[in-house]
Amino acid sequence: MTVDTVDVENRRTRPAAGLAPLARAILWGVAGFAGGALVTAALQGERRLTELAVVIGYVVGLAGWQLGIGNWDAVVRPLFGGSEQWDEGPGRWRYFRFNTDHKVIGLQYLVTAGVTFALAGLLAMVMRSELTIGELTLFPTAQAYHNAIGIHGTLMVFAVAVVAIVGGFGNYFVPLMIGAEDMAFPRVNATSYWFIPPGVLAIIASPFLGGFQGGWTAYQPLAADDTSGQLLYYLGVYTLGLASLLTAINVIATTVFMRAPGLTWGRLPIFVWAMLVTSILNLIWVPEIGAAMVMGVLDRVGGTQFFAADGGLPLLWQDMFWLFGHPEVYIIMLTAWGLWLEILPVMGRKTLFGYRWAVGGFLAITLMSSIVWAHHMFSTSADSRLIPFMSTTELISIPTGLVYLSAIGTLWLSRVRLTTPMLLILFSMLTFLIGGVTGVFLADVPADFYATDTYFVVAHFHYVIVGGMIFAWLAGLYYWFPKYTGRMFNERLGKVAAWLLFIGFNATFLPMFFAGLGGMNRRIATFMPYLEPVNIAISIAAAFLGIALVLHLINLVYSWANGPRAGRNPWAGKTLEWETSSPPPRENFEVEPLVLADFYGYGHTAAEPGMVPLPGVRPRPLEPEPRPAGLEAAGLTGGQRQSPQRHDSDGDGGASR
Amino acid sequence: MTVSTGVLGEERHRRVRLFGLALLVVAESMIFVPLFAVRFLTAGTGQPANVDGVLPVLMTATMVASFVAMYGARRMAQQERWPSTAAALWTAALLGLVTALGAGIGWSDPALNAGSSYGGVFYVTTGAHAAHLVLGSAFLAGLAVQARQGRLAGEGRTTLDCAYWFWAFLLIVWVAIDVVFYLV
Amino acid sequence: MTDQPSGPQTNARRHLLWAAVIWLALTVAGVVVVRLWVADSFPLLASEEGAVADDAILFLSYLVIPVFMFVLVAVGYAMARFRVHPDDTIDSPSQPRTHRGYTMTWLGVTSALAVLVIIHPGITGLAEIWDARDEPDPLVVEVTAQQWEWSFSYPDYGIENRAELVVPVGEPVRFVITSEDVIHSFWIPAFRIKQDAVPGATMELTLTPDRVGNTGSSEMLRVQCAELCGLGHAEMAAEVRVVTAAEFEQWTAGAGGGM
Repeated sequence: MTVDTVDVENRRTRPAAGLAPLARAILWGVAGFAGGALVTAALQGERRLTELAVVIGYVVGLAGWQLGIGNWDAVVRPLFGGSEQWDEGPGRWRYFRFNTDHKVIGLQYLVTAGVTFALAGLLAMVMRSELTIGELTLFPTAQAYHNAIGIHGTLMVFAVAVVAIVGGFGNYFVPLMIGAEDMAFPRVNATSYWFIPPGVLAIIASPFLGGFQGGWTAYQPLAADDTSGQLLYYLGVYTLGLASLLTAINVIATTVFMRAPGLTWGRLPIFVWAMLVTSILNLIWVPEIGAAMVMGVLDRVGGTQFFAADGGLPLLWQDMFWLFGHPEVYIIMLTAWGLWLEILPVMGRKTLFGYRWAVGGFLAITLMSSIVWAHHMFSTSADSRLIPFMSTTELISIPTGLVYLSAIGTLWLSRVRLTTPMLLILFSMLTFLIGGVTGVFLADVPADFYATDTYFVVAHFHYVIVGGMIFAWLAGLYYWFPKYTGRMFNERLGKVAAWLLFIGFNATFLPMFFAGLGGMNRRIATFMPYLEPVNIAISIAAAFLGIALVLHLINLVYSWANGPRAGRNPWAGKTLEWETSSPPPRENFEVEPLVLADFYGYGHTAAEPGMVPLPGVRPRPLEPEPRPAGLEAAGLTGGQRQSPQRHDSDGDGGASR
Repeated sequence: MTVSTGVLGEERHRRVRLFGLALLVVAESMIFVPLFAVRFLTAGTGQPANVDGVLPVLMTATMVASFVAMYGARRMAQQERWPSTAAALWTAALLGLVTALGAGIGWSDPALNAGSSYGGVFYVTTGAHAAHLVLGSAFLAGLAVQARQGRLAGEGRTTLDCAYWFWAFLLIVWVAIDVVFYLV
Repeated sequence: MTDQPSGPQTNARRHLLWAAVIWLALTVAGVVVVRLWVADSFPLLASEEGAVADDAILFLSYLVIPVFMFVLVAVGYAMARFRVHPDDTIDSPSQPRTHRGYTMTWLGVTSALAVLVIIHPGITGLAEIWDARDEPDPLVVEVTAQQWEWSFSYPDYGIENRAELVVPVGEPVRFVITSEDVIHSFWIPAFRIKQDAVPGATMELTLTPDRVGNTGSSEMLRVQCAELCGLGHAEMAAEVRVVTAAEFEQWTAGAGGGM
């Protein structure tokens, strides 16, 4: 039951050809930027592009872009009483349109995140080539190298790690897994995706304004004195944040209101739980970092001095950044844990162990992640902060451990089908573990004084984000590949690439721990000769890591076009997305599914969890549905999608048999 | 596929949208709460001498008046008096713009400057609020047009309710700004 | 591949036993590896407080071995022994949703470990590092960071703005650290502990060098900026000499310009 009850046929009344809406978006965006920038510069009496002109131009251009792609037709014109018509496009053109189908949006997110990942990964490869020698050789200038580390980090974190799973799988699979027909606010959803391309482009374009030196954390006051590319960092990150925020609102509202009948909280798929808590964190902390980004922009163009060395508080930036930045680590990781616990039962033919403990762990992490941020600042913080933040950080390992409790409890004595997604999930469990335990080192203040700002930290967070989240993302890409493409990938190539990835990844990042302890500090292109051997080894290993990722890419792209047809449920999964065709039709299910048990029951005593009633027949739910008086007679005929009354407070569900 | 919403569906439809608005309000609050915290972190309590004390009172008055107009619009819509609804919405939008204009006048106060610890956060916070007022007023203008066309019945009423509650939120934020920047 | 169907109970116990044995063996092996190849191969250490950081890292390394091996064995054992054909969709004979003993043990152990590492090496280590502050009459060295160089002043000796850091061995040194422009971080890898230099603020760090040497003898003895501070960040290093007390007196007399 989507809120935008829009008639798809109606939208076609004003058909647009091919890429026309995208062309209009580009035109309006460019015109907006040019107009905004020129007028601002003229008002300032300047004949060149000032920073203020860039900011105003960007804001106007972004608005033009969003209006051009579809918000004019879908939102603004109807708001002022005009007609509500837009063309969502046929076939492949849908992906280049303002399209409200959550499945189209999910794939838009997935492919964009994949392209961005490839670009930023390519930059990493160039950086590793540079680092085979202690002198600046490959990059023409130090500025160019700093641009590379800044763009690599910013894109990987803000345009890949936080959006690939939430924006991609979250959009595609949350409605499917809860038996809904779309997200709660489809137009908001479509809008959210179209913030991603301009955000990514802004960050990629930063070298045209001189680039930025300060990396993805943009520490002040360096960022305030930096070249103008810093502006595009702020604006780009802000834009990407808007996408996350709108997605968060959608995921939460969808999960709360649009679950199929019988899908109680206690039966909610674990991946949906992960998306829900992630979205809560996004909802709360993305606006906060947005405020910090605006303050950073105003420090450059508005005459304010929030983070200035004189008269400002340089460390305030770090607090504001990490107040968002640490919850963000969990925004990244919770999604991956959701995938672990979703895939393990299916591939092991075994009941998810400790469902409630895992959900409890998710919730505890969500709460605690907001009170650990200062562990990024031990070497700069007041003494009074050290012990409290060390304590909260060490304690958050307890709910994190609950995820492993559930994963290992499920894995043990299961019947492991070692498919590519399963293999990647198991690798993710191991590599994230290394990231997790080295996090214990970094949470320990004495050890952190030594290891912080060195390659130890670089290794640690790559183990967490790449080893944890990217591995899981790849696993998800394979696991759901038959669902979103309707085809099967090459299992043999997938497994070879997974092993190569695991080995190449560890060979790349494990030595970095030792390099860091050996005096290799972060974010440097030149270093002392004694550090060269280890760096050469790392770079060679990184090449294998790169090859492994290319093999995965080849497998996914080739199979998307040429793979053998997959049925609706090739893994014999039990969640609802497997109950519909591959790929699912526009409305997902022919008839609203009815959930009779939770999705993780295996063994001969397990009930079938979900079913799709035959068209025209609405089976009685097992539990009586209380209905508000007076609504009983409100035309509840069969075949229609009705809004069921559920026992939302019924936490018991099927989970505790 | 056309989704038909029965009576029951309409009610849930309404709840979802109000819930979405509540989520938006939570997110919006997380813009202003950090800014309030920054105000005390950078400038402590108190404010510079000579800051105009009349303007915020006038702005509070226009903001409250704007909200009262919104309240009126909601009442009129409930009674399906569409021309009056439109008039009330226009009034609310106009008063919102006047309040935003007041923020602009406040910025030109010579006692403040952007580079000062109080002035900087004052500009950002009132600016963020004024930006919400300007965009919100544009939205209310749209609703006024729709009211004229009689399109705020049924589903449109939920839209109006969302606008009403959002306006209440902006009023609360303004009062908080009053307290944080002028009274403390 | 696995011998599941008959007697899952006995099998379960046998699997558990085997896994426990492998876990124990790997844990012992891990401890031996760390003891033999890691414990004594830390890079050059040259301060008393730095030893606290090394000890913390070593202690935590020992502590995480059993934890890491637990997951490694669980995953590796499952991959090797519970593997079935990908098309085999027969459900596992064991289908617990919860297990009180396992869960409670897990919670107990992880909570105990978390609390343990807060206390030691966390709080105890920090206390040890802070002990140096209470030493009477430390040598005061003013460290000034700016893009992209370090300068060192010795107010007690009237020595100002030296590009090289010279400190006596065995005596506590209080580094008084400031920055002229952006945030830097004062780090001598051999001293381990780093402290950020923040513009507009004065940070203090007291360390006791305990080994004579210089940048020429080991690259670990260098001042290295550790916080990204702009284009010259990588080259923002300074030479360090840790000398005997007598040599230090001699140096101050020579460098101080006739004090």
